[in-house]
Amino acid sequence: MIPREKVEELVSAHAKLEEPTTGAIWINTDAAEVWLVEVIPTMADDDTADEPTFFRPGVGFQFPLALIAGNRQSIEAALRRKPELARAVVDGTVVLDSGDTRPLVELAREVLRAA
Amino acid sequence: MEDDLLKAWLRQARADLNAGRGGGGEECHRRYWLQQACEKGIKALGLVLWNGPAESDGVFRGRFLHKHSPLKQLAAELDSDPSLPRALRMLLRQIEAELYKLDGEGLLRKIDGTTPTTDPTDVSYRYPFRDSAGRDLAPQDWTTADWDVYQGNAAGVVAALERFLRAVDNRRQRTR
Repeated sequence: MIPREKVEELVSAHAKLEEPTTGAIWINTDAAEVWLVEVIPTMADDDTADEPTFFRPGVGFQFPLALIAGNRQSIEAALRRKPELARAVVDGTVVLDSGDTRPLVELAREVLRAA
Repeated sequence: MEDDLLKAWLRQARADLNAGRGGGGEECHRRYWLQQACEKGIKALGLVLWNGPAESDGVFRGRFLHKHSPLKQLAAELDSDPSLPRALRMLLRQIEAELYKLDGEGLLRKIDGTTPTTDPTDVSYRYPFRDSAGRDLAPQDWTTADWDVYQGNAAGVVAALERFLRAVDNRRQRTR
């Protein structure tokens, strides 16, 4: 399993970019890749936000990455569309919360209750 | 095949770095080779990371791998063309995150923002340009201090490039 501090370090780097990540949830924590759901407010609306972007291990961050990213509305829509993503978010670990992450987890819980 | 391509980019980056820190040519030539080493190193890092869908490979090559100042250019293209694949936008962010960790001083990102250009109002390593006082200068007119301001301190740039290329090559060897 990839140590949490390594994941936090990556999310912290994403949060310092010019278009920062403001929320991050580490999902599927037992997977070989780091799976992250990230809120990036500057991204345009995207109805395919639930589709992950994969990266090979990097130089500073030496693990494979599967990144699900979108603005808050797009991530909310993805959670409503895909109960399995909602389940992963509920079971995941909040790594960064600037105010928009906990509400996503709450929404994921609602989705699962309604399913 | 993929590893061969990555090795080729790294070999050429290393050759450019060696030319840049050598004693030959004018300062502008040495600085140009350092810029080229940085450009190729960033492209090599992009190759290491890229795992996008096969249908996006052509865009990856055309909009990133075969461009000057790849980070600056890709950012501009993503701004002007929202239809580009999301994987490319995420790649730019991931490279920037990697550089943030590897290059706290920001030298590599600073060098990426410089590029040879024929625009007479932009500083160029290879073409005459007009300075802020309106004088036409040849790149070779600039002093080391001028280049330090534009590109970064030469010794610092060489050291940053050395660390960067070594780190990318180590990653390549660990994952081949």
